[in-house]
Amino acid sequence: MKFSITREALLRPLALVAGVVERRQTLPVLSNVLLEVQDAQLSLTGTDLEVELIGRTAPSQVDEPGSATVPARKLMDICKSLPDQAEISISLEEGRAVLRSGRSRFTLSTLPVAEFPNIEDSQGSVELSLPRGTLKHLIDATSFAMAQQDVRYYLNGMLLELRSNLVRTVATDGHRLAVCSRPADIEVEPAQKLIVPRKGVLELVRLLDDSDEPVSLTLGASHVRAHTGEFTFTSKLVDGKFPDYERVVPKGGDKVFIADRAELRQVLSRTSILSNEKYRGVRLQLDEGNLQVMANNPEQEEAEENIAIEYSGAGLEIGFNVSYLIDVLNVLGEDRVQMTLADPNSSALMEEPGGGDAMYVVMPMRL
Amino acid sequence: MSPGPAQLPLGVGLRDDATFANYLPSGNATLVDRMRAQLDEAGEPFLFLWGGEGVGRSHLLQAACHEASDRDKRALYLPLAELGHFPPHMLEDIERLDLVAIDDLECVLGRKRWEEALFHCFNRLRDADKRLVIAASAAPRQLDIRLADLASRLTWGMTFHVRPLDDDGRADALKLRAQVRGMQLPDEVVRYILHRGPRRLGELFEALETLDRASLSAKRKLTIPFVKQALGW
Repeated sequence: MKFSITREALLRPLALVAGVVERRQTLPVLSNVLLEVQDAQLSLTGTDLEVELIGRTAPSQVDEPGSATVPARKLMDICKSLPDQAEISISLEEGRAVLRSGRSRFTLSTLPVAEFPNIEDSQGSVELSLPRGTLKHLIDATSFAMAQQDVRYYLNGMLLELRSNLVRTVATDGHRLAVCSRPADIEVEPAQKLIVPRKGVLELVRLLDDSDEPVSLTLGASHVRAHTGEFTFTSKLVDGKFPDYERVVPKGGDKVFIADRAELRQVLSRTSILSNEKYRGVRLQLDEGNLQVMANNPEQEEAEENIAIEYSGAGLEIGFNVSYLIDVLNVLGEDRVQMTLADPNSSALMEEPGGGDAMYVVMPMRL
Repeated sequence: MSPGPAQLPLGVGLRDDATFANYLPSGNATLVDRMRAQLDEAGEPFLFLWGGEGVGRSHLLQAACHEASDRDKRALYLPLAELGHFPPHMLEDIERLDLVAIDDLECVLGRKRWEEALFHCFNRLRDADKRLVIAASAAPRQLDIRLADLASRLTWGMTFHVRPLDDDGRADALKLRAQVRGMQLPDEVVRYILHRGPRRLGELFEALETLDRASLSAKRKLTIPFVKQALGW
């Protein structure tokens, strides 16, 4: 194997592919990236056995096709630190990978290509394509609510629901839940529901942009594959049932107020400074035309803020983890936010006034 | 002093109803097969199962009803421990259903109206070719039944002794139920719960429900210290 390539052509796919590579892993070869040169194409593969990412780019010259696996992070750190527009040549010499650029020379260890694991090609039963911007929006609107390392495997991921003319994502960590749906020009019969693991979701969204260019999805029994032209992403699916989100969305909340989203977010962020660092609790006092936000901490320090809101109804005092409210305000699009409450022990519904494409359910705290 | 702040959990835990899928057959495999096949064309018209406290009689009966509704059949579960103090009107017209599951039979024995109603209910179900499953604390001949006709009817079907689980079986059952809820229960925690917890399986599963909610609320893994704290042991 011998080829040369510009630093810029190598760096973006290498950075994304190296993102999949875990810092610590059971198999040494998993810390490597697989380089394959063929015709006028270089492909790079990184995997952690759950998520696999293949990036493709064009070398400036191919002297000898071939393949090798080299340490992903070291290769990336070297390429990053070389000057802009540097021309890099990589060749396999006596079982070692030699990287040359200008007057620099690096010799990297390799591991046999045969040891590099492939995620097995599972039979794809359904194929469809979505605008990249649609999928990115759906993931961005909900991914913050995924659990991290919960004992319930199904919460450490995102539900991707595909049905004819509709795509929906749902994520929940057991304290809050995020749902976002968008119309899409797809035919899926019967509807498909997959749970993509947390890491897969976070890696997939890095490949997407806001464009209308397509991302094609192949849905298998145990894997999902996404293809964007330059990248092929494969993730194992979480085997299990996802909770019925409709059961969780509150109905019958009678206290509905509308506030300025940016202003409410600032009020909450300021108040949160003096909330209990562990529990992050704030107290909301809802009154006609006014929302009071209060926090205090074990040092007896107190914060109190008032914000004008559109509300005429009965008063209510309710506690929340302030981070959960700020997370929602960060992803909502409109200038104003609508919040529907019932009582201090029932979940709150947050959405755009009149309801947008996303719904957020937040459980209160007992303070 | 008020307890510290607590995050209330959303109801996103998976439901863990009593079904055949979360019943560990262990020594009762034949019984489970018969029960699952009861609604088949050639299924047994009448099954009688008996066993001690906490062996899973109620679970099996409820599982039979869930299976029936999964097959679009109509079924009714009648726990006589709770319903037995009402007059037996609930048995009227019951032959319209496809499956009737009567639990805790011993609770109404010795009461004339109930025994007669059960006797007629048995006959009507049989005439209508509908299925019946009855569970009690003892075998038909050991039960204190006044109405001789009812006593003889109860021996007409297949009778099964529901065997209790041994300690390994109890550990497996606990793990299975945790798994259905999507929770991973490490072996040492299973051993701790079995060692420290209630003997009755039903109470053990209730403890599991408490743990499910507590770990959802606290976002904690199921470790022995956490189990101790959540269950107040």
